[in-house]
This record gives sequence, structure tokens and C-alpha cells, in this order.
Amino acid sequence: MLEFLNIIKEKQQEAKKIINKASIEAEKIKQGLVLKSKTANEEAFLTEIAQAEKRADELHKNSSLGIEQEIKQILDNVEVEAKEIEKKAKINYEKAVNEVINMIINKSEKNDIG
Amino acid sequence: MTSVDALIEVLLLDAHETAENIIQDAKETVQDTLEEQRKKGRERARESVISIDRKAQDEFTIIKLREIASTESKAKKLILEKKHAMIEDVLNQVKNELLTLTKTDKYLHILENLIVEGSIIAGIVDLEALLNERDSTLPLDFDKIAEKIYKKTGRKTPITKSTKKIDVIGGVIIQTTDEDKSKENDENNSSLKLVMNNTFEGLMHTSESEIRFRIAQILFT
Repeated sequence: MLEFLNIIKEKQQEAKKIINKASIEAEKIKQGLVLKSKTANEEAFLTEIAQAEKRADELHKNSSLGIEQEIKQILDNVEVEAKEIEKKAKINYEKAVNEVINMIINKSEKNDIG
Repeated sequence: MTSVDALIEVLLLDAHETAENIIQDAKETVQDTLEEQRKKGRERARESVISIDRKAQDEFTIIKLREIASTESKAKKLILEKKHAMIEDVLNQVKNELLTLTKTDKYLHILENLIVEGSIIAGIVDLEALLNERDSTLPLDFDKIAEKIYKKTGRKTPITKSTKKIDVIGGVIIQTTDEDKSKENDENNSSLKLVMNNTFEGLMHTSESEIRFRIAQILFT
């Protein structure tokens, strides 16, 4: 009976050692946590910033493309407008020339007393 | 297996299970803590991220507005230059046609009227008419011109053809003769001549704004 109790006691000690060992290991796992926490915090912070900067760069690139297209549209429109102006001006060119000549000639004729 | 063996096995199994749980709890605590710190890191970055996003958006808006405004300004300038060139074309053509006009019979009458009109505006006696080389050879009757001025103003205005020649398309410059200055000029500066520029170039210059405006109206509206 005594031998039986000794064996039980021995195994209880063994079980206690197993648990103690696990506790020590757990403590070791937790020991680096302060440093890891700081690093994790900083990495997450920097990752967010880097992503935002990447988005800003992409916006800049895409916007440049968008602006170029808008500028091209404005220049295309002005080209069309210039052609229309030229076309209309050509139609009225002779009329304008004659009108100016008349303005000058009429200057002399307003005192015409025959 | 005896009951003692069974008891020992249970004892050790429990110990292992407890040990595993302790380690697992520690690992989970670490993971939870790290995840929480990552979350805090992201939250800490939020204001900076908003600032970066806003700055990028503002820069985009400013660049866009500046580029568009600059292009629109260039476009307007281009149109204005185009219109200006077309107005210049008309003015050059006017000069060509006025030159052609000076070679017609109608021109003599126009020139006489320009001399009369210039003399009336000058409003003084003893005038001379400066003409270009070609117009000096035209059969202008200055007595008849003086008579026209008299009929119009009731004032006798002797007028002669100057020996000086001017380089113009056509028309006349009326000025006081060297011997007779205007009353106003006598009071101020006896060497100054009163001049009325009724050349085609002078008339175009005097009415330049009005002429350009009228051309623009006709060409572009």
C-alpha cells in the first residue's frame, strides 16, 4: 500500500513538473510581447501610411492622364472653333473689305457739295 | 492494466492537457495582443492617412485647375491671334483696293472731297495740300476746291498744292503754309504748322478702333 502511495506521489510530482515546465514556456512566449507589440504597432502604422502614399501616387498618375485628356479635348475644340471662324470669315471677307473702303470713302463724300 | 496504472495515466494526461492549455493560452494572448496593437497602429495612422489622401486630392484639384486654366488661356489666345490675323488680312486688302481705286476716274472726285473736308476742319486760311508723287500730276482745280470750301463755310480759303511730296497710297495732308500760321499757333509757337491728315492711311489710323471693330463684327458674327 505504501509502495502504491509512493508511486502516486511520484507521478503527481511528475505531473506538477510538466505543468511547471509549460508555465515557464508560456512565460517565455509572453516575455517578448512588449517589444513585439511595439513592432506590430509601428509596422501596422507604416503599412497604412505606405498604402496611402501609394494611393496618392496612383491618383497623381491617373489624374495626369485625365488632365491630359481634358487638355486634348480643349485643344481639339479650339481647333474646330478656329476652323469655323476661318470658314465664316472667308465668306464675309469681301463684305468687310468693302465696308472699310466705304467708311473711308464716305468720309470724303460727307462734304461732297457736287 | 491495474487501477493504479489507470489512475497514473489519467493524472499524467491531465497534466499534459493542462500544460498544452497553458501554452496555447499564452500563444493566444500573444496573438490577441499583437492584433490589438496592429489595430492601434492602424488607428494611429488614420489621421495621417486622411491627411495624405486629402493632400493628394487637393494637389490633383490644383494641378487640374491650373493646367485647364492655362490651356483655356492658350486656346483663347490662339483664337484671338487667328482673328487678329484675319483682321490684318482685311486691312491689307483694303490698302490694295484703295491703291487700285486711286487709278480710277472716280478717285479724282474723292481726292477733291478729301481736300475740301480737310480744309474745312483745319478752319483757317492759306492752306497747302500735300500729295503723293502720282496724285500731284492729277488735274486738280484748286480754285474750284477753294470755291467749294467757301460755299460750305462762307469763308475764303486760298489753297495751293505743296511742292513737297508724301509717301502714301492716296488722299491728302492739309497744312498751313509757311507764310501763314493759325492764330492759335501764332500765340503759342509760330514755327508749328496745323496739319489735317486726310490720307487713306491717316483716315484708317484715325478710325482704327472703329474699323477693326466693324471688321470683327462682319467677319465673326
